[in-house]
Amino acid sequence: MKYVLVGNSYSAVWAAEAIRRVDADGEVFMISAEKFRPYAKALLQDYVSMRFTEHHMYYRGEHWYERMKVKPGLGSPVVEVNDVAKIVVLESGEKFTYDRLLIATGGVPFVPPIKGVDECRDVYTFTTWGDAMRIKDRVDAGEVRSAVVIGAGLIGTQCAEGLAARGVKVTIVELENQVLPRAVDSKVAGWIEEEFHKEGISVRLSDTVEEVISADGRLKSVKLKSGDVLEPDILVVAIGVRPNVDFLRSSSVKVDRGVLVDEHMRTSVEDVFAAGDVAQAPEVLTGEKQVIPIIPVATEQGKIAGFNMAGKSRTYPGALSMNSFHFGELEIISAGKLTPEEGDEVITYVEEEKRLYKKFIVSGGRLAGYVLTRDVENAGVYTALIRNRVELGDMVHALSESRFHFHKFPEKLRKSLLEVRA
Amino acid sequence: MKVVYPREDFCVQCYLCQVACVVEHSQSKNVINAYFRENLRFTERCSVYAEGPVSFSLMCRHCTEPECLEACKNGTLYRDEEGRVLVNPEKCVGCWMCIMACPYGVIKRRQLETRRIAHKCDLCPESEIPACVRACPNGALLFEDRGERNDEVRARW
Ligand SMILES: Cc1cc2nc3c(=O)[nH]c(=O)nc-3n(C[C@H](O)[C@H](O)[C@H](O)COP(=O)(O)OP(=O)(O)OC[C@H]3O[C@@H](n4cnc5c(N)ncnc54)[C@H](O)[C@@H]3O)c2cc1C
Repeated sequence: MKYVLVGNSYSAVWAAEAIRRVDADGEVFMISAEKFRPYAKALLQDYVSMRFTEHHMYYRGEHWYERMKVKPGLGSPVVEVNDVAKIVVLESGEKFTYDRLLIATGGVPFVPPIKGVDECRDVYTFTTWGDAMRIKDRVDAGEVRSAVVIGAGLIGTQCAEGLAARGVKVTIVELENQVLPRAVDSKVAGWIEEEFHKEGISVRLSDTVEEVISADGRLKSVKLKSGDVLEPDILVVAIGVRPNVDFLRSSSVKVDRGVLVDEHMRTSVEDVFAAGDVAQAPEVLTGEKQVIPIIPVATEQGKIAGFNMAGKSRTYPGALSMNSFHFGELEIISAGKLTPEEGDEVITYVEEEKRLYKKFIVSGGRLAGYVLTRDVENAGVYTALIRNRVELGDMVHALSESRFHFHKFPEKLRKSLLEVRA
Repeated sequence: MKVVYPREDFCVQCYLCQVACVVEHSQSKNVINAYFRENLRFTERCSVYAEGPVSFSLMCRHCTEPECLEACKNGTLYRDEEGRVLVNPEKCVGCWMCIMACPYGVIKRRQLETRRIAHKCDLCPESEIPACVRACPNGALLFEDRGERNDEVRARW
């Protein structure tokens, strides 16, 4: 059996490791556009800020490829997939045949057609180690005193913090009326904005960049919708990522927003699988196929894909959006649904001066989402309640108690979890 | 693999498991020194939970397919050859993705001098039987291999 994995990051790593648990001898190739061995994309801001070293960036040990008996092909992107002849073609001209193919190419940053953006050389995105190196090099050279970051989502806010830690004066411009609109509610967003203020990061909400003005390709100023004009040294576009699917255009693999997969992570083509930020897979609360670009989803999908590719049937329980972050002193974990719908119950608990917050959204008697700050150590219990669609019953009254845990569960469920008896 | 399972009907809420855990992971292996000289108070890797007559101590199950490993940003969490799920303290950046993902809620935050890292049960590598199990006066913690049931139960609550 010959497996070709396109991608060399979270989901491809987990696919390779799952394949090896089933098939010790099959040939496994991992192809990547980038030249690095697997690294932690989610730490790019800590690389820029120099809070952590290169050592922290590598996702797996130096000899991982050898140990896994994986043959890496790094540095040239796949430009075409021929699913009839079962061949992938690289930009370098090299071709690989496969028996089973995994598409794990992640996302590409979305750069909107802002006037003047194409003519400017000081515009960056922030989704690869290469991007982070280019920005860090300029900071190291003392060329970046100020920056504008477009987008206050996960990537934009993290990039802003990384730059601010290096003494760069950062302004984040966000179209919506709060930071992290898809990851926290407005209450926590307000606290995050206060942390940013302490770090010297300014935030401009309900605004966006309308025009980039440069001279000889060098950034002069950016004009905002509000009419204000800023004069940063660099501009970072962090509006979001979209599934990286362009090279599939000539194949018959079905693509909607991302590559459509079933609960075995199989695409519309029998021997082709997809996982991670590129895939559009069933979501756990709605059952609808969605793209949820986060690490725990990428790794689990990679693992399920790997098992199924190697012939061990495994069903994907469905993706759940969740995230854990800290801004300054404020630690936050959130998961699932954040905006209540008609009929949902919302439970909140706030200790303003401590910056302690808990919010739970209960839908049809089951936990559907939560936001926690500060007191986060039991977050996984809530995550599991959501994922396992547990009927809350009386537990609903205890959700916001500190140290909420299995002792609040009904006896039968609690004992089955604690004692694992047959 | 053998891991630690609590029996709530036998737990007397004495917290000796927590103390034994701290001492086992100390330099001095002495209660007073561990708490006062080495400053290890609150570094136990198991937690006692109690509600009325119900109490139990809970710690990592060392799952075959751990959610914490899948969520980890940079490969800090790993399984060793014996199957134990461990934290590489040098590598941990304290992002708490593992805490968000662990269905048993047994990963803690530990304060080091300059940073905080994930902290969890390591099954006491220096001892044949984990310290909490040895310390339990009433057999409320058992060190046993319950095979695949461990994973089956976790997969469907
Ligand atoms: C700055 C930043 C911070 C983040 N923080 C968090 C966080 O805190 N928590 C969280 O859960 N998630 C976070 N994320 C998101 C997380 O990084 C992604 O969900 C994750 O990387 C997805 O993994 P993946 O394997 O699907 O794809 P990716 O990590 O995107 O990897 C794609 C792989 O495919 C390769 N590739 C791309 N195109 C081709 C091609 N044509 N041919 C060959 N190879 C190709 C790439 O080189 C790469 O190896 C963050 C992302 C960024 C950028």
